[in-house]
Amino acid sequence: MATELLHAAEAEGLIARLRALGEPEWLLNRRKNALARVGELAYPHIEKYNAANLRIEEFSHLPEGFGDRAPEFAERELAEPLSAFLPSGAMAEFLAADGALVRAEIAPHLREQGVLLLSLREAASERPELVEPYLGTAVPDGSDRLTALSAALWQEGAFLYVPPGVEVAEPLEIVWVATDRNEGLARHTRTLVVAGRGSRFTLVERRLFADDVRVLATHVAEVFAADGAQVNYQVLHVGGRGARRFEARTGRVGRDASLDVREADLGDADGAILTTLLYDADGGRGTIRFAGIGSGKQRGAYTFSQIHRSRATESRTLVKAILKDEAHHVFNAITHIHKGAKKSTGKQTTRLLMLGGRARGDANPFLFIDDNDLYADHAASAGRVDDLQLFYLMSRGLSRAEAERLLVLGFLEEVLRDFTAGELPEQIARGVERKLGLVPAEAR
Amino acid sequence: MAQPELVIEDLHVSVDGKPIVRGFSLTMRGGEIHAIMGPNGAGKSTVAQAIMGHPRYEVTRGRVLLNGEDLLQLSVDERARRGLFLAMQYPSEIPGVTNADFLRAAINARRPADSPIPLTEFMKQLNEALALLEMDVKMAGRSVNEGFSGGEKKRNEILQMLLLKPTVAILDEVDSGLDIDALKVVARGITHLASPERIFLLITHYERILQYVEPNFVHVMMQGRIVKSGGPELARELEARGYDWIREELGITDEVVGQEA
Repeated sequence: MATELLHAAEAEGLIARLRALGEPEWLLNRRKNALARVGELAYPHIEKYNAANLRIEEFSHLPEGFGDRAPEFAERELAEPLSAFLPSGAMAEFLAADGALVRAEIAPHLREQGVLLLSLREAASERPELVEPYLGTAVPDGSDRLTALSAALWQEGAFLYVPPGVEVAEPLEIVWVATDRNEGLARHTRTLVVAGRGSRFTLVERRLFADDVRVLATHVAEVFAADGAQVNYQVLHVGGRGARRFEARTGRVGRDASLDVREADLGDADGAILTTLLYDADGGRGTIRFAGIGSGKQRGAYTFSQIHRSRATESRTLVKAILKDEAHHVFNAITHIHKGAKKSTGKQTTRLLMLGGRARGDANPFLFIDDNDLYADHAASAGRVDDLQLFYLMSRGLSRAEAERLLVLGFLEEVLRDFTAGELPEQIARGVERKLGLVPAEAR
Repeated sequence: MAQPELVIEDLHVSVDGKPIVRGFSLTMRGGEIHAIMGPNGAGKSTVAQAIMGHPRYEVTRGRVLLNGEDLLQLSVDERARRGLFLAMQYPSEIPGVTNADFLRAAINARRPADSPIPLTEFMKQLNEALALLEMDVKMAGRSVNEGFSGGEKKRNEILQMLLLKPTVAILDEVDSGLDIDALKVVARGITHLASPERIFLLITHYERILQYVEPNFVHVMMQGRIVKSGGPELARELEARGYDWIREELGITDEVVGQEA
């Protein structure tokens, strides 16, 4: 057994258990291969961040009931404020708690159109032709120690498939909940999204974590937008104080397809989030728009990568983050336009706002240009609340606290206005207020 | 409401350690419109910013009493809530905060916490003020001053004044950069609000705006203080003759006391 995380007997027992649960051999083989490599692979290289600080060996990677459905779960039992961030009345919803499936439901009219939203393990055995060609290819199983760990030991996954030409008006929901019953445990989960040619939909993925639980959570999400597909992928993080996390989200953008990632990190976990869009076909377009708030003693790193390998591809990255208290976050924005990706455009902007003298944010822009006849630019800034803006607002009677509240909400608004799915805008607004410790005007 | 009184006593203000305002004194009462004129660098804007509490301006001596209370002992927001308003020459841009949200927050800051202005009442007041100033209703949904032209910024300052209904309104060169039509609209906003319960202090280079807003008193500032006062005819004289005759009359050779912010 080439990893210090599991004894050989434990690993064999896990494979046998998953086989008994109906997992197909091709997937079990992948798990075994990945498990064999976990120990030998290095941690992912993240600029100005040491991923080894996640100390994965401190956690138990085989929680009790691995692979089972959730025994019981009631939203009302969720610690405040997590229940306020659940979706309501979704047409399609996948919900997992503590790495176990609670429910995967889809409205009849969507099912009739061929839309699938179900457990990834179930999909792997029932629809292998939709899973096997994709799983572990956007985020390769052996990229590094953490992706190998995920490939080997993912406990549950969400699988979404939207057939060619199908347009879904309502947001599709994937919800991951970690309750307070995870002390000392590792939870590895995955999302796989396959968007058929010309399909069009919005996916909302929520990562809701109880506070003050020492849990390690890894999550690998892979999104495949086939030619002409238009995918809007909105991600929300809430809670998780005391948790450690590693998340890698990668999208492959097909010919003339578009993939727009909107991510709001209002969570409190430490760790790294990697968001990558790959343009492997001509005419693909994508955006990454991120809004985040670091508080307390959070330590984190975010890397946003736009990788152009084909002609006339277009990317835009916009990062807006607020750092307060003693938080220290690193933001790496990478645009890489490879040889052959002529006529492409890559733009990136990172803006950091520090509240208080002890918060720190590092903005690191990277442009790698291997060809000509293209356009690329970057802008990065890190600053503090503008005294003149504060003066202006206060000169109209607003208290300092209220003036700061307006300024920080205004700072994030450029990104937050893009969260348009269902009740998400209101939930995010509440999450921002909570995370910043601001009192909403109507509650004063 | 009793007639308000603003008394500025022997005000001295420094910027970056350099004295700019040196002994400015003026008493104003409700229903009066005062105008301060003077060449660049005389300290006109410095007086306005210091009274409002701009962080860059250090008051080294003097008092500013509104109905007997020294505003200089209060924070910027407290001064505003006491009824002081400064329409700024270069208002800040606040990205991501709409005019409407900002104005509503400012109005509510003056009301009891448990009694915010009802949305319908707020919208009614806002729309009336927009109409008076011939402003597009879309301005309410735009970020405060962001991407506004010079004229739009000036109108936006007056819009805020109309909604906040201050006791003391100081207008710092709201006329600069305005064409004649915009100037008339801005003047309309001022005259609309003029009342015995309100004091206006207009700071201007030119007599132009005073053709539309007739002041009761005109004061000339040089060397960081008022050197001459008179009625509205003084403004017309300044427009016709410039400032040299005052310099000669008073024996002033260099009226500039510092870089005016």
